[in-house]
Amino acid sequence: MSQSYHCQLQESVTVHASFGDTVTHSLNLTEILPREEMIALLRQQLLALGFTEDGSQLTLTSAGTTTTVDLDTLEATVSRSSKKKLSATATATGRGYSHSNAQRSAEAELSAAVQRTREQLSAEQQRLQREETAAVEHTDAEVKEVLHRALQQVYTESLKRKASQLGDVRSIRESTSASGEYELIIEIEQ
Amino acid sequence: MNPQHLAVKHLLPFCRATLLGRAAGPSVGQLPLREPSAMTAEVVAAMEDMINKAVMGWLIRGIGWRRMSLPDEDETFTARIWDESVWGDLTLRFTAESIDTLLLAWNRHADGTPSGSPHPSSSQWRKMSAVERRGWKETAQKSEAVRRSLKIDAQLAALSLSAPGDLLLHHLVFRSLYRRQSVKAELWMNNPLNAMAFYPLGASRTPEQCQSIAALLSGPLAPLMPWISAEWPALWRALPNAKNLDAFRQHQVSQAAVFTTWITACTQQASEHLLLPLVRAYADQRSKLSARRSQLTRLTSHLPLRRRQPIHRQWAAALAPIQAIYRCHQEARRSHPIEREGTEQILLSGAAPFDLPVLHRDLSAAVEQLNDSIG
Repeated sequence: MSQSYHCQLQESVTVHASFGDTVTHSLNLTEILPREEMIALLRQQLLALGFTEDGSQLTLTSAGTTTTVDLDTLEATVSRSSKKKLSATATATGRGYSHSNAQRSAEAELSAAVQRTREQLSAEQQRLQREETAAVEHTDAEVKEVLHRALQQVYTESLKRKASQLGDVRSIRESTSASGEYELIIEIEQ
Repeated sequence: MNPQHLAVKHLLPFCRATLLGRAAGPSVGQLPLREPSAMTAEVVAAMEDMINKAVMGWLIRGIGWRRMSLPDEDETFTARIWDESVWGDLTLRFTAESIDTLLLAWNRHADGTPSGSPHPSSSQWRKMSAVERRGWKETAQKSEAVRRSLKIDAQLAALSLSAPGDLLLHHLVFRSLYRRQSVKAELWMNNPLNAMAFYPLGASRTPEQCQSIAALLSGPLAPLMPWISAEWPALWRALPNAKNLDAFRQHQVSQAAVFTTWITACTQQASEHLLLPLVRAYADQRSKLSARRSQLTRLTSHLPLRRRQPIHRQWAAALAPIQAIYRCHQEARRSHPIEREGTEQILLSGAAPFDLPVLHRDLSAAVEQLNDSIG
């Protein structure tokens, strides 16, 4: 009577993956005052918002996302990056009437199983990358809003300074309409 | 088969189908170029008639029937662009090269599958050794079918297309064949009209091609620019395949190059033939923007932001040349009516039916959005 052999093989598949995304914006700074003065005002505004200074770069990190403003190039970068170890085990069983036949069958099965596991890990990697992109997209909208407000403050301060250079400032009125439009009226006497 | 019988029974139906943009039937033979034994006077007369009708029909179906407002010296008047009083003499001249184009297209069609040495199937090819593969290639290169095919290719690429009619006919045949079957596009790029219109094929244009496009725009085909520009919007839709991100990018870069060439040609000569279609092309941009935007979103939504952004910026850069029209328009408006140059007068009259400031605002907003700048 012949005897049936069963052979079970396992292989663990590990992928060290890096995820992340970056989005860059250029800051349009209209020069109401000399460029250096405008940049100094912007630095002041960003520091007030919690950015930390490192050379010409100001950085703010919040919930895993880093926002960097380069005052030399006037570029704002929102980025996020992470690393993750993804692992899974591929298992295969082979049967045969001799040990070597069972082993060969299991090996053939295992190589297909490893391929499938790699594909699954790759799909998982893509899913995690899409999540990172969505997170950057979400934070980017908030960062843009913050930078818009900072630039608005820079322009307001610049206009006030410019007005005072042109003559004696009699009155300054600031208002924001229901639609969110900001209005600044400065009366000067020459 | 008797060459005369072949020409009447098969060549003429092939030409008719091709010129009407329909699928041509199976081909059964080839005919030599410019040989009286094959091309009898009757066949040539029938082809001449077909060529005339096809080209004129295409032009009229394009925008020839539309009545549009056109500038005169001090006022605008409404006319069909086809009216002789508008453009002057529109006589199109054809040479024997138009017949050669059709004949070569027919010969190429007949030669599509050389029967001498059929290519092995992919499974057979995989099983062949390197020596066997080399041997097959050498035999195939020596085979009569391949030599014939190479000769047709050389003849197609060598067509000089000197007359405006030849250029239009060549363009018409290529459009039809390209949409219906696979053709070797590079053999048809000696016609600047094809190089200009079929952007995914002429992806990286040579400086010579750019020069010939410029010469074409400001030269013999200048009166036909309205037709040619009217055809552009349909080209993206007409592409049988390759509607991918690369094709989108090439399309944008190509359009920017054509607009730059066009604007340069306009500044060199005060011609309403060039300026008016350009203003209309500018006006067309707004209607296309949202459709293109959604196409781009569809093509890039799966990409990370760091790869999406350069594509958006490239598109914004491609829109820049056409915005020069608005700046020219504003400058022309600022000058005193008496001091205005001919080009400025034509530009202002041509732009009158459109709300250019609104177009400019929308286009600028789109460019700003694509550039993703803050402030």
